[in-house]
Amino acid sequence: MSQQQTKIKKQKDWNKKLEKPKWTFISILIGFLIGFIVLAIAGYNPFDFLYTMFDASLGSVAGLGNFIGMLAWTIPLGLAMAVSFRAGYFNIGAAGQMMLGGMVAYLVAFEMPNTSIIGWFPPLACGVIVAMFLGMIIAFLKNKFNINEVLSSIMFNWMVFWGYKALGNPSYSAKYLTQTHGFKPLTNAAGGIGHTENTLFNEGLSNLFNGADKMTGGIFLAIIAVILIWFLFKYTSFGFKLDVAGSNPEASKYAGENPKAKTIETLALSAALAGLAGVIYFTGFKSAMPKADMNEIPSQGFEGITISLIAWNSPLGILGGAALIGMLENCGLGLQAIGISTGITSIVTSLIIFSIAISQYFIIYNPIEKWKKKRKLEKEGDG
Amino acid sequence: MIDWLFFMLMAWSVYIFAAQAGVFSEKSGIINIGIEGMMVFGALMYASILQTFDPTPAGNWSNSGYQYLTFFICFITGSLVSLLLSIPTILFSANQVITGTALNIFAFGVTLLIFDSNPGWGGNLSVKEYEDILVGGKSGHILIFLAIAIIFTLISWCIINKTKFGLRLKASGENPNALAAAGVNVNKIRFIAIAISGMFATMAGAMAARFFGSFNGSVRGMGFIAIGILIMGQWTIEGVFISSLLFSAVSAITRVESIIQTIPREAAFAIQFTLPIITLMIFQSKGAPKAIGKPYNKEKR
Repeated sequence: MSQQQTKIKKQKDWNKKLEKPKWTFISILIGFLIGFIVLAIAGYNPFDFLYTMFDASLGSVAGLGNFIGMLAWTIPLGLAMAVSFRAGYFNIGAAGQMMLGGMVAYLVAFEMPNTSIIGWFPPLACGVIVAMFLGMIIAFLKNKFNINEVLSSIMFNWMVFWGYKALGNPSYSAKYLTQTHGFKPLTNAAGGIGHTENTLFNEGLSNLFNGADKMTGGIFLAIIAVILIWFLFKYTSFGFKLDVAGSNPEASKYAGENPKAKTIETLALSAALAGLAGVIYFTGFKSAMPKADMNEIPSQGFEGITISLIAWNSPLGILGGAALIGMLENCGLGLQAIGISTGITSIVTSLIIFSIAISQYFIIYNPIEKWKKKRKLEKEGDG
Repeated sequence: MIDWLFFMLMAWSVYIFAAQAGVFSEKSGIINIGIEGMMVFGALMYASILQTFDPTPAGNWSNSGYQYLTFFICFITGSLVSLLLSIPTILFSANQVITGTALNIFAFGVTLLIFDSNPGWGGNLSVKEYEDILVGGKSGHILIFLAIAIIFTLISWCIINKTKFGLRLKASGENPNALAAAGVNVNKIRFIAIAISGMFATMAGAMAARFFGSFNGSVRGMGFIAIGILIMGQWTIEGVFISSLLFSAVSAITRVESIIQTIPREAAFAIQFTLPIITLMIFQSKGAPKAIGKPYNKEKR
């Protein structure tokens, strides 16, 4: 009897554990389904989109190389969001931190000849550290002036964006930096900051993958980051304290943790990871900064939210989320080739975010279970 | 100088609408990060209607009385757009910031899809250049825009401060449980508030397309500036009305050619985003509704 009871209990525990992945899976399906409907309304064949999505990433060796290059920045970006979500903060500024990291890395790489094998290290370190400082400023504003981190990081996103545009505008950078101070011209022929000879991480690797120009050595940094963050949350007291601060701030305070120190630690770590993602994305994956005449913050910065929502903030789950978003993003060129708008990837991503945000209601309040119980009670009442 | 003044008035009418969209939703207790996305929908609606249905060549409609009909259509569509924010956050208690971000990404994707499926538009919908109005001596439209904006300000001030609905709106942002105890349906109040917010935001988007003279898929962060204005105005209609004047003076710089010869246009835009942070450092967020960001749930009363 007792054996059976433990069996039932185990089954129940297992069901509870499966609840989150189940709803995430349903949300992703709904996201794709509505995306298909939107595509069909716009007059495209949705199955072409599905085929291209898999074909672009898994269909050829070069595609696989590009897909791995995609993982190299989606993983740190997802981790950045996961760290901040776990500690109860919403670092929506990942987009700006990415841009800042990439920009600083380019500016540093630009002033030093990139010939030696460790030439990638100083730009990387500078990019990550400057992005981390941005995170610390956001944390400082929260601690000192009680400014919500969502708000200040949105404002910083746009400050970085317009700052980049000002720096990349040839009429100003040429006028003030090149002529007056003797810098090399910052902008390249394509209209962005940086030059292709400063491309980091790519040497040799793209040849290995049949000329996949987006394959980058940043994937090793991404794997190291996953292992470090996983270890941090699984085995160290630092990670546990962050978890407690996020799930139960009162308990954390009662246990003698300084919430202000937690804010700085979390946002600095999160911003550093976002900076890492930015350096890998702009220098390794894209091999260029975006054009200075763009008029929208690169939307890649917001993918981290989707990734960590899919993964439920678990460092290992990030791999799955990053793979899904990586596949979605990777099919852009293939979609353009067959004439489908790349807007569909943003639509599907946003629909996934919508449905996961909604699905949390079903997990927490469980209305279906309640409705079933009610029905059962009513039936018994009838009998 | 006169150019700058006119652009300032134009930007002012954009910001009045955009920031009031923020006031209505945040007063009811729902954070609206998605103002930018709603504005993009409004601008898309306005520019594509002009492009599709304008019988005269090259956007003469945008200088005639028909544009007010177009504005009205945009205004009404806003209530549909607002469902993207209100259904997840109110019915399903979803995280409001995440939903708002998703709304922004969704608007970005939909615009890209529509632009790509209409290759004839060439990725840029031109609304008749704003300068033409000035040169032709027809500054009347700007004054009409401003008049509409001011009338709407008066109406929304009266709604919030003088009516039963306004009182309930404020209560649902401050203490929804007390409101529910008084026998009012909190969700209904919030649904109406977000619908008003969506209408104002799409209207602001349509006017932003006017302000930039064209629409190429974004409103350049004006929706986020609106959030800054909202904070600077301390969540009140009159505060928002005045502080949006300051922001519009800075925004207008970016459209005047004689000034941007010396100051980078981009730097002027960047300055706008420091203003809300400085304001918060000085005044703190005292005016913020207390129940903001928390989904209302009957079970947790």
